Amino acid sequence: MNLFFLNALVWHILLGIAAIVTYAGLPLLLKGKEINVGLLKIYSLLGFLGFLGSWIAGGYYYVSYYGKAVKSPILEGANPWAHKILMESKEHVFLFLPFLAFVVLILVNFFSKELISSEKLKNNLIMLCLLIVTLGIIITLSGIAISGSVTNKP
Amino acid sequence: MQDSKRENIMSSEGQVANRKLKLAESIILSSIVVAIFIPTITIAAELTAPLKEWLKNTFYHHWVGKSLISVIVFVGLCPFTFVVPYKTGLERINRLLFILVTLVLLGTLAIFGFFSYETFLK
Repeated sequence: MNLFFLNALVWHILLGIAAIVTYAGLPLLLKGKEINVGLLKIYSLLGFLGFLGSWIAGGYYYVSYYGKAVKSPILEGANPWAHKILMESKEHVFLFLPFLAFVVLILVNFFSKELISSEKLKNNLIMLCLLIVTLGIIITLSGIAISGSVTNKP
Repeated sequence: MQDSKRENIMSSEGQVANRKLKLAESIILSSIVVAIFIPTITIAAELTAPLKEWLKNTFYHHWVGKSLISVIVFVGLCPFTFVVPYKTGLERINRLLFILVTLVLLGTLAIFGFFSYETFLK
């Protein structure tokens, strides 16, 4: 793997994890005694940009390198299901995340006053953030299993 | 004079608030359509070889095709759902958020379920 693909691989992980961390932080901010709107806006923007960056970097790595150099060793190895189930699912489930992140970004920026007064909107936003975190964790764990399966030979 | 000025300010504030609600609702509605589209095209492309081939030939890779079409669907629907007249409100936004979360959960289960079935049971 050359340095360019290595960077794409590493940045898609780092940006994705950074985005997950920001969406894990948002419910904590929303549940706080006083809602810090400025911080909510920064977190939601960073999370959205993180997923966008991860989409581009991960997509480039997946399309240009994974299919040619990584997929075959996994399919010929001890755990072909790592590609057949985890990779196939992960790459498609990820597509939900940038859109969900954009919804969070819009809600936080448009309804910062209502988030303080409306408990229902706040709870729905927390639910959306927790969904993003859950999917992010599933995708991350799938990525770990996929990476681990490259070296496993029967 | 001052009363009419105040009324004007209040009505323009109301318009801005209504536009915000409408824009937020159009974005959530478009996301709901994308949340239905992603698992649908994923499973359809696996079951229909010509569709996967078309995605591959048109967009270089089937995943790039699915990504770009999702963005096009989202960007295309947002202005449409914003322009179409309907009553909006915070209550509707809450309901749509719940629908969005439910559909994404179901879509995720459908994608993982489909690939698990294809791998172990087929």
